[in-house]
Amino acid sequence: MAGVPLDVQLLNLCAALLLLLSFAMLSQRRIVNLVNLLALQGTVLFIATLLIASSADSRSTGTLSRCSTSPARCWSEC
Amino acid sequence: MRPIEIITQLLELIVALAAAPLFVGWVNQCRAWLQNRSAPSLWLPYRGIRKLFHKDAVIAEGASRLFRLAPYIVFAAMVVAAGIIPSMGTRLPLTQVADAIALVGLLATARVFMALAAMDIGTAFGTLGARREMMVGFLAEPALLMVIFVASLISATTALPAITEHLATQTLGLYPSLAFTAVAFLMVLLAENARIPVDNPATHLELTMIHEATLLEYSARHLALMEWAAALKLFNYACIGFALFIPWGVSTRGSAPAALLASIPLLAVKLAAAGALLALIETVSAKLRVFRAPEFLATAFLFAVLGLLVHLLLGA
Repeated sequence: MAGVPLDVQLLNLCAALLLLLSFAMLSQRRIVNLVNLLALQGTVLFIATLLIASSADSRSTGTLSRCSTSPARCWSEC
Repeated sequence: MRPIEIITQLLELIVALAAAPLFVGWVNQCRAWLQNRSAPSLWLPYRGIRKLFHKDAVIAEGASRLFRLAPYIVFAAMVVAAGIIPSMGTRLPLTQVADAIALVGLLATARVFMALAAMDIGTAFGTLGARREMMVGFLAEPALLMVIFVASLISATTALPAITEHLATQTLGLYPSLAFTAVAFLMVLLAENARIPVDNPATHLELTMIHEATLLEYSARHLALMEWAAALKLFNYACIGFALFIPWGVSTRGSAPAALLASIPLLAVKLAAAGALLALIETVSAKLRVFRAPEFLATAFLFAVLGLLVHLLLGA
């Protein structure tokens, strides 16, 4: 990891968390837990997209991500 | 072989032998504090071992030579394991002939002899404990190996001192693969050392005990060696954890000989923190049923595999 920028390290962390959440979803027996994990996965994806947007200096990607995943997350949490 | 290497090796062995019962005493003391009980003395494990060494051994009828030899083999395996793990310095001559896989093999040898000795007498409890010990062992061992493989892949070697040196000299950063394997290692540590949630070291209830059931027939010096070996095992596991995940402060090949002395208080601080964490985990978690132990260890293995996948896919 020597010389790797911080945003790339954070992106790697997000990717690792996504992998963990995917395996956690596989092991769920109750649908409510599955939905909660799906919401959490959406949040991690949202953060990852924001990170990419900030590192690429692209506002549209971040806004699009925020618009698409946040309502989905709120809906699934409800 | 240089004098500093011999000194490092001897110092590591002496510190491990001396500090292992103290570490167990510290964990017991922290547990008592967290549970609002009056804490036992820090020196109680030493007193227990000394008392047992002064007693006459009572050996069951029909006990074979294996039963008498097993405590010495188990204790020797733990001492050799302590010599391989770089807890204070990486200049260890023993590590030239034994790497991390050999270390796992040593721990497995101790377990096998303990299980054989428990079954040797032929009592129901001994056999029950041996079977449970092996069940936990065969599930924990792959997870431990996987944890070591992740660290080996990062450092491109299976020698523990080289892994420690490589990880200690890395620049600070986020390592998701190491974070996952640290969780897996913690779960393996709890299971292998018969701690809550897998086993309760403070109970002799026949429905739940695992490790204690294998020691029921031992007395006097044999029991003292087994107790000391159990303390050494916990100490060794803690030091493996430090070597893989908190490798800073260890005297490396390039450092001055004084760094070896400076690493002793740092090891004490690490052990104190690890003991407090262990006691906290044991206080806040409930004992699992024996049949849930495979699920617990499967989760540990999954975490270790995830660490491996993250390292292979992301290189992080």
